[in-house]
Amino acid sequence: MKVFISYGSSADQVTALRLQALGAVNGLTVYVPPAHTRQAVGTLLDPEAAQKLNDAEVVLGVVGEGLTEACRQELNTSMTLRKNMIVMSYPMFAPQLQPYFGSNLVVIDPQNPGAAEIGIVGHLKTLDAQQSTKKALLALGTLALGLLILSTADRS
Amino acid sequence: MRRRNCTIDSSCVIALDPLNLVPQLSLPFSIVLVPKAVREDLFKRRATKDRLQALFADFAFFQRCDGYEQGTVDFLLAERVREGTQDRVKLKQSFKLRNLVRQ
Repeated sequence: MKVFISYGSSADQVTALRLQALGAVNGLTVYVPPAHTRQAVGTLLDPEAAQKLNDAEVVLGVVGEGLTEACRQELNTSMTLRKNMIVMSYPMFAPQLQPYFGSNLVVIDPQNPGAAEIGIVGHLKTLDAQQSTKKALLALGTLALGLLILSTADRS
Repeated sequence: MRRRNCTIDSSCVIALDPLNLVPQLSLPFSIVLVPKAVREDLFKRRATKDRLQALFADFAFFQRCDGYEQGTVDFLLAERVREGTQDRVKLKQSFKLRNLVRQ
């Protein structure tokens, strides 16, 4: 299964790469866009990223440290392409993301991670997708939740 | 997960890059620092220079390291400096011995 991970800013790329490595050992083909796509100020989607996004069956958004235009575009494109997706975000970015991603958005409260897990499961119930797709989203979403919470705990 | 930083040397970059294992360094480490001397070493050849520049562009956790705390560097290298001095003394002694044997 092909998975596309869109991350908020360069600082979030390490979480995306960790998810890529964990996904790869479980048979997933995970694409993480290069870091330079988060430094460019252009408004066009990177051609390679656009191609990978088109090929992906599942899209996971990881917004922990920041939100760049490239990430916003990738997530908007996946919405347009009607991809099965979950966007994991910290509460500070929720107001910017909520109007566009609605039920696809799962807000992480480090004090109450159970709510995010319930949010992931609740969203998967509403998806009309294959069981394997739901499993991949559940696994990646849970792993992303864990990695983001641990990175916050580590910083504090 | 504890936030761990590390420094990398030329041989590790040369060994890991062709195997596409550089992204996997993000699992144990949050930041991989590439010291100036390592960059200069890899910049000597066009192929390794291009690869290193591509790694900097592709991976945000792969970062240039230009600042050093001189006190820490002196402390960490103290042993090597001492051993280096001893080696030089031994080298001089062996040269003297060789010259004596020739005479």
